Amino acid sequence: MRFLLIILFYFFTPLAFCQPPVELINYTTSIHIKNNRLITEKNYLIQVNNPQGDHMGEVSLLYQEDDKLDLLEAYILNKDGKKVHKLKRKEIITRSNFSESTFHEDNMVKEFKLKWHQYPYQIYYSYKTTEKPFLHIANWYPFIRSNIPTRKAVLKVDLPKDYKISINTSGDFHFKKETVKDSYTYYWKAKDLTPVKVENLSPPISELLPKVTIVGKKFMYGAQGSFESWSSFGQWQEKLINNLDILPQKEKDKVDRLIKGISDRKEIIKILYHYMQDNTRYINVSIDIGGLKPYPASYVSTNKYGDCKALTIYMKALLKYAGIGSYYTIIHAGESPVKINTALPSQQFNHVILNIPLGNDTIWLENTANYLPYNYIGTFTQGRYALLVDGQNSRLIKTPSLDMDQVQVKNVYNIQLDKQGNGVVNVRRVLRGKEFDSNKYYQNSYKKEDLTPLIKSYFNLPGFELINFDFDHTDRDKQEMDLLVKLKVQDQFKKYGSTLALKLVPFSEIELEKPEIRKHPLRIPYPYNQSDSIVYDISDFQNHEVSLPEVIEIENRHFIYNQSYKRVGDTLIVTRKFALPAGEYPIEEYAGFYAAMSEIIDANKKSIIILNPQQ
Amino acid sequence: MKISLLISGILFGVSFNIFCQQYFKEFGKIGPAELELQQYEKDPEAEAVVLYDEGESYFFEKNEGSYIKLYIKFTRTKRIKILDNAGVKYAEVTIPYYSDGFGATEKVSSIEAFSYNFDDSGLIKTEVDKNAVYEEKVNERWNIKKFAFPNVKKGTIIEYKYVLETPFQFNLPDWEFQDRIPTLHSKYIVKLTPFYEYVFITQGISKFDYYNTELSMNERVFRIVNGRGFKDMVHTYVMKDVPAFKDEAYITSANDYIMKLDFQLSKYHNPSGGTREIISTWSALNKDLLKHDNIGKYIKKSGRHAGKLLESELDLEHLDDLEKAKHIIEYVKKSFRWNGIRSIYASEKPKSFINNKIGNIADLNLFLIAMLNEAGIEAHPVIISTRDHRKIYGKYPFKNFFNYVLVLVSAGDKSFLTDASEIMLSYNRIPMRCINDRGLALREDEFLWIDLYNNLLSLDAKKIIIEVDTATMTANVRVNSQSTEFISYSHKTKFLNNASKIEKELTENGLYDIKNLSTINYDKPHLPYVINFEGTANVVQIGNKIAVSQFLEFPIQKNKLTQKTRSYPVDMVFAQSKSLSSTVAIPEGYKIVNVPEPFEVENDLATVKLIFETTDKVVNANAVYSFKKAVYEPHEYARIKYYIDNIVKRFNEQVVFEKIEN
Repeated sequence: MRFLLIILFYFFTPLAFCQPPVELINYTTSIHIKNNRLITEKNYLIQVNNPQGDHMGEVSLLYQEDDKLDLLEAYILNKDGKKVHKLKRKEIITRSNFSESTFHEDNMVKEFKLKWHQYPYQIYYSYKTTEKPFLHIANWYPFIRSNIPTRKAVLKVDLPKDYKISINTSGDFHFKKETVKDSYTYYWKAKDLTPVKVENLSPPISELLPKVTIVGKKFMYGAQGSFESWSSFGQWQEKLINNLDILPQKEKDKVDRLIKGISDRKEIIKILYHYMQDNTRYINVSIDIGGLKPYPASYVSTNKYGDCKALTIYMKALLKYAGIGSYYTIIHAGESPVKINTALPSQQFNHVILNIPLGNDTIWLENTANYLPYNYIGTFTQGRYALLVDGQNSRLIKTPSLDMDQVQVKNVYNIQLDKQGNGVVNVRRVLRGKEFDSNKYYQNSYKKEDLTPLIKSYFNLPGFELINFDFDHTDRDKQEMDLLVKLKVQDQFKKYGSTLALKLVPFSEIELEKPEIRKHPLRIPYPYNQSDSIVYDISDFQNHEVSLPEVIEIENRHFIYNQSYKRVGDTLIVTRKFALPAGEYPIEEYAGFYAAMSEIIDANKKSIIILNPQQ
Repeated sequence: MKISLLISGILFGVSFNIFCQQYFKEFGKIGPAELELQQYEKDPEAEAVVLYDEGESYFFEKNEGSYIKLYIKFTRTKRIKILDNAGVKYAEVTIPYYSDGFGATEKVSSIEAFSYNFDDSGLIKTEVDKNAVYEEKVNERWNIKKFAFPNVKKGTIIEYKYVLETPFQFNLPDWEFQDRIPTLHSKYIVKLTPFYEYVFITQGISKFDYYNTELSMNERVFRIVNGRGFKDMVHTYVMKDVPAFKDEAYITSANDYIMKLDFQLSKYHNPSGGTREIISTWSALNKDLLKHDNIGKYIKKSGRHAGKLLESELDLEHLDDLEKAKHIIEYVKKSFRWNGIRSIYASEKPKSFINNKIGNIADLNLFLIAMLNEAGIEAHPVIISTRDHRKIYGKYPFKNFFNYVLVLVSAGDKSFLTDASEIMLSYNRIPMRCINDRGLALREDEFLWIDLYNNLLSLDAKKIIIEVDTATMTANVRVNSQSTEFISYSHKTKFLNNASKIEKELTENGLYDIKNLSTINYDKPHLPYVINFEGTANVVQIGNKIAVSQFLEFPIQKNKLTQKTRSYPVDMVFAQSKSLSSTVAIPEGYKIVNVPEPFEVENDLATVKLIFETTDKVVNANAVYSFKKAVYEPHEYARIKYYIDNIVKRFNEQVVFEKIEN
């Protein structure tokens, strides 16, 4: 058989390399305050260089229903700089904003399209928003999207001289401050910024981007507030939640019934927490200043649903009625969260949990996940600063960090193979930490048959079939769960003449960029700890000379990895352990870390059991 | 112990159901049977079930200012039992309603919704607060009302009722009998007046569990029709124990398969005499659309503008018709852009389309027809339904089936379909999204059905040369890859001829140190897209043996067809053939110890071939597989799955060399 195609003509096309599909040519933001309203004007000039950049011509502008958004101007310039299309009013669509996590919100979207057929072309649009109330004056990034280069960006802020503010910037800006009559005009300029990309185990994008944050020392948002200190910000938050934690009579009766005759405070907290978990669900209805002001406990009591704020207030109310004090604690949730800038008291949070001091102990309650154990801090909230709201004593505190033991995942494989390499694999996974959090979520939120692809993704064996699986988590407050899986496998031996080779169940590697292209430092937000025990039960062992791969022992300043073997009759037991503590390493240390991880990968490639027929 | 307990629990549940099968189908009435239902026996994993879902449509008169208008009142009542935490999501309800943009609008009213829970204090009924029914705007035409039920957990029963009033007689509400969860009972009653006549189309339903048509006992009078009395014709449709709808891989669209009943207005009988046909025959529809302002007339109106462009922008002299057609199609593709909107109707005046250079698919393709016609080439619109849209039923000539328009060109002795929206495709090819069943060619003399599938093969051929470096135990690899038709189209749109994108893909296929990467024919849709490169791959070393994957990781690595059987066709969209040929040099000082077994299947459905040939210097391997049909029937599924299993297993087997002992 020959090549199927005969090529008659060769047209070499140059491969595209550098040209970005879109560039932000000029971006200016002007901010001023008038009659207690925050007025922000934004102007974008965007250049689209090829069809892959066309999507930037599909513009969506988000605003809250009560605020105002005026589209000032929008048009297209062709490659000669000629204005070829001006946006008409009828081309603008206004609709509700739909977001996955919110059931209903009063945010609206204005949408329009600016597209042209010849490249490059430029689109220009400008709009003005008027916000009242407002919290921050600016959270400004000199980007339109982090993956689009910026040629020039300017932030201009006009404020009366007596308007007290805190400013925080990160990144290189050209800064200028001018005095005009009774006010100051601030300028931040940035030029020729290249796109920023999150990398594996890097800080999150909002820490990597240059940024200007400006907050007023005083603000009015639901109540008078101040960003003077964390305490003053906490006091404002307290005003917003004040008196919301009161239960309706019916609910009080319920609490009385639930805790009748119980005096142990921990037990009471647990009973009420379970009651809350079993009877409520997460639904977010965000209207007006609902982003920061919770619904009262009575709302949850009636509807049996709420967002994180409402559910937390409700839990707080249940405890309060039972005579147990607790603190509303705002936090930035996420597996790899943005670090709180402790020097800039401001609204840097997106979630709420409850803190309950109990003698020398502290109990933490996450109120939006009805599947998680009592007093459980997962990868979502562990090890970071949060603002505990307690009047004048409001303060930043740190949530406990997950330790090595709390994240340990154990995998026990039992692999039985016949001569042909066919057989069954029984696996028991004991899940903690991240794996516990996510599997518990999946188990709770999906029906079993929909989880098949997820369970399959845990295994990397050639041509296996999933026979069945089960989660085991009977004690709801146990901070680990079991996953039991049965697989059927075929042809596990690779045949090289009369030699049979069996690749060990691969160790799941952490994906990393090559050091040459790595840009950002390494951040491991919580430890990794995996121990595997793989038992091979191979009926044909006795007819073969079995040669085992080398024992692996890697220990360095970052982690420990080892792998060893034990032969007992027809069984072979492989033991493997990987432990990587949480930590932060500057970019200079990345190459070393990468090289160390590569050692594991190389060792894994050679982890092959070889069976030769006995002579 | 635990297991036996579980089983007896299930048995109990089942036996209980047998005695208490009667669930109420009355709003507000809850009995022990629905309260105690814990599992649906026909689908034990179901996270929720629809206990009943009933709808009724009814015509009535309404005063609107000084006018009397005819409306349809649609009342719906639905009850769901949540069986598991995963089913809680069914406690959120969205009701869409439509406005025509000219002041007429549907209206949703009388929403009543309750959740029911049973605990030690008895039955707890919680109402959805009227203030918690939210209104959202989806776009200029569609709005939704939405609400979430309060007090919902595993075991909760929820039910709701609402009325939708519509002034649009053409939009008599359709009925879906099937949901993503099982439905125990679904009933739709349609009360029709003698004035509007509808035809109904069923989908996925072979037989109703109950169907009845009878004349209503009550005589009614409409003022709007001069006070003459009439009786409603009452149609009742019932389906029971409808299984949950499940998506499967390689199907066109859920809309095509879910069990439902659609109504289309067919005739209007004027009480004062005379009948207006809304739809009659395909032939009439053909004539209708050719007269339509935004289809047939649009083409005519475009003629003058198209003629001007022909003169000023193109030089077609001395070309034959086929060449002319090619030039015109290329010109429209290059000069105008598609805005992504599908429609069979042009959205703009020809002049503003020419000025803006961008439009919906009808603007684009109808204008192309005008240009072709002006150049003396026969071209006609072909209206189709795209893959994610719905099926066209031959029995009913409905405009609603269609959402896209293509162009049928006859030039010289050739006829072909074309589409001006994809510059990466050849002048005589249509995009994959359009390949769905058949299309209707609109022509002055007579309409024509055009099959949109074609079994034209898309090819993907790779030639690989491998030399093993025994010092580093790596393989130096040279690859020439060529693809045609839809495969080359998908490569081009995926890679965009961008070196780093191609490299990334290769790296994912186990290759590294890519160098001398070049491509050919990126912008020549009718020629094969060629990618050449060199790179390095790993070889496996086992003692004194080394193993080489002679096709690298290019063959299919995993069979996506995993189900044992299949009830829908396997839609591959286009026929395809892939070939791999490789030459592996026998490393110095080594001998061959293993060459994989050859394999061959050749029949109407597919070809799968694997051949080896060894000399004292090299191992040559050739592999081909082709799927000859674009769509395979469900009964052919098992064979297709078996072929792919074999490809995965055999094409990835390795050649083994052993060191020659001295």
